[in-house]
Amino acid sequence: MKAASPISRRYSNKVYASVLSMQTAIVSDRHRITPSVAGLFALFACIFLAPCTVAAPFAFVTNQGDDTVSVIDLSTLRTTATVSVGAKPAGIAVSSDGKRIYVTNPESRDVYLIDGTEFKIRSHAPVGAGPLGIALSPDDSRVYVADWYDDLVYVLDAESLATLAAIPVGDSPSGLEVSPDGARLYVADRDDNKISVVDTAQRRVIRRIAVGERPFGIRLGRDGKRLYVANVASNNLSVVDLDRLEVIATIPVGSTPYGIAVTADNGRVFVTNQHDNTLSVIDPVTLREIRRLPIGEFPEGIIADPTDKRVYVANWFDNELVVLDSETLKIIKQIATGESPRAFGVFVAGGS
Amino acid sequence: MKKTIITLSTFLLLFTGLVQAHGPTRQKVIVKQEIAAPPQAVWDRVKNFHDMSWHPAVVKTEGEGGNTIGSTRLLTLGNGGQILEKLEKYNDEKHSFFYRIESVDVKVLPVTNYSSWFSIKATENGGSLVTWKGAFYRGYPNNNPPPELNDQAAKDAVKGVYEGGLANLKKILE
Repeated sequence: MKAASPISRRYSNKVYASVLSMQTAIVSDRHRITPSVAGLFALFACIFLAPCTVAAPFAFVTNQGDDTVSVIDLSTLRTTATVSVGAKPAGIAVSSDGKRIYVTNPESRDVYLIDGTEFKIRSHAPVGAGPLGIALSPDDSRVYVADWYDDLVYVLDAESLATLAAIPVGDSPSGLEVSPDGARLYVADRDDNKISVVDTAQRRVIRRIAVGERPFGIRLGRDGKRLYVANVASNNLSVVDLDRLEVIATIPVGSTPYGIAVTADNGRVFVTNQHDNTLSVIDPVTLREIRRLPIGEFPEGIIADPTDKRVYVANWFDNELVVLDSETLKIIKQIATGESPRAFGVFVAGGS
Repeated sequence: MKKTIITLSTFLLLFTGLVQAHGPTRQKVIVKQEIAAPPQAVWDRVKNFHDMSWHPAVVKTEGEGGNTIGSTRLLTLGNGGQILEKLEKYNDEKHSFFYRIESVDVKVLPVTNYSSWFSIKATENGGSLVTWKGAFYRGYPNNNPPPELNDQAAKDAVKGVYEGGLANLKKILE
């Protein structure tokens, strides 16, 4: 029960934040010719209907090949802005209200903060030798950045981007996730084949869990009690029980699994298989792969919409974001992005 | 046979493995070549994984296992350099295959974690469009790579391999 309340708080916060950002978007759109009809409808739906179902407004896709971030409006499914960032952007994190977007640029060795309403750079700061994975604390006050080269996770102040601490972790840290109560940070140590469990108050690793080979992308299960780990070299998914801190299942998936999404409604797990050009769909109850479907070439970053039954997949080779219906598993749309999209992280506010 | 095994295992000992530490940015190269020959004719020339004699840079192809998944081939180049490759996917019907480099000295080809697709599609005029694509990281896995092992060097090298090979394939078949 202890874990349940922060989770429900997390989700209600998300919905509340979505409404707030929707209102803001409508107000700031007043001078434009085309106000968001879908947004207005969603707002009304949110006021009069329960449970509230407001669509996440934007996806932010890092385009590593042309040093930009594509901003894609998820109600119209069109690109509304392209923001120039640092060199070779890869990691991305979006605050729960969608107003702050953080981008890691491993080649220019910095983190950029983009304003989520005007889509302009607010600030940037040098971070380490190879910033890659990135995640926000649930209260959006701290940014965690994995340094691929120096085997550290930096703790940044989310407002000033000042580095507050550096936590030594394993070899080549990549994917990051923070527990719903903010107390623990999970780090995929790719070249150690382990997950580091960090106590965020003590700022140190308290446990290391052996998983498959070359873990890269990780994502929390819907109830925050599980961590899913994509093992690039062993072509499987490790399922870690976060109470016991041990692997409870290893599920074979397609070749070179990279990113993971977990749907908000039923906790269904989606895994991008880079070398298969497929998506594995996993039942969280039976812990088996139930479908493997073609998705496009070299799928990488993936996320499930917080409310709508949609999954978004960045196809690195095809330079597109695929919008998939997470129930029917039909492709709704393919949206052109910049060159070599990665979208490594939570690239939609409140997404999972 | 025995000699081949010894050569392969020595080779594996000398160089690093399939999935290794790499830089932060994966690179891609796509080269397309139209060839005035039917897709089947082009496929017949390239479909044997253990015969890469159609590429002018390759002087010898060794290996066992035919066109089955997991089969490996050791390429010897004109300059003596060697590349060990593994077949990952093979589709005779669709005229395509996918392979990875298991091991290579970055002095031979300045890349790591290299994977590649080769495919042939029919064109409207009865000819073929051959596409050769690669995804890989630069040869130097850490920050501040020397110029011969940076992203550009990796891309240039792979592009050179693809262009040289496809131009020769065109010459052979037309």
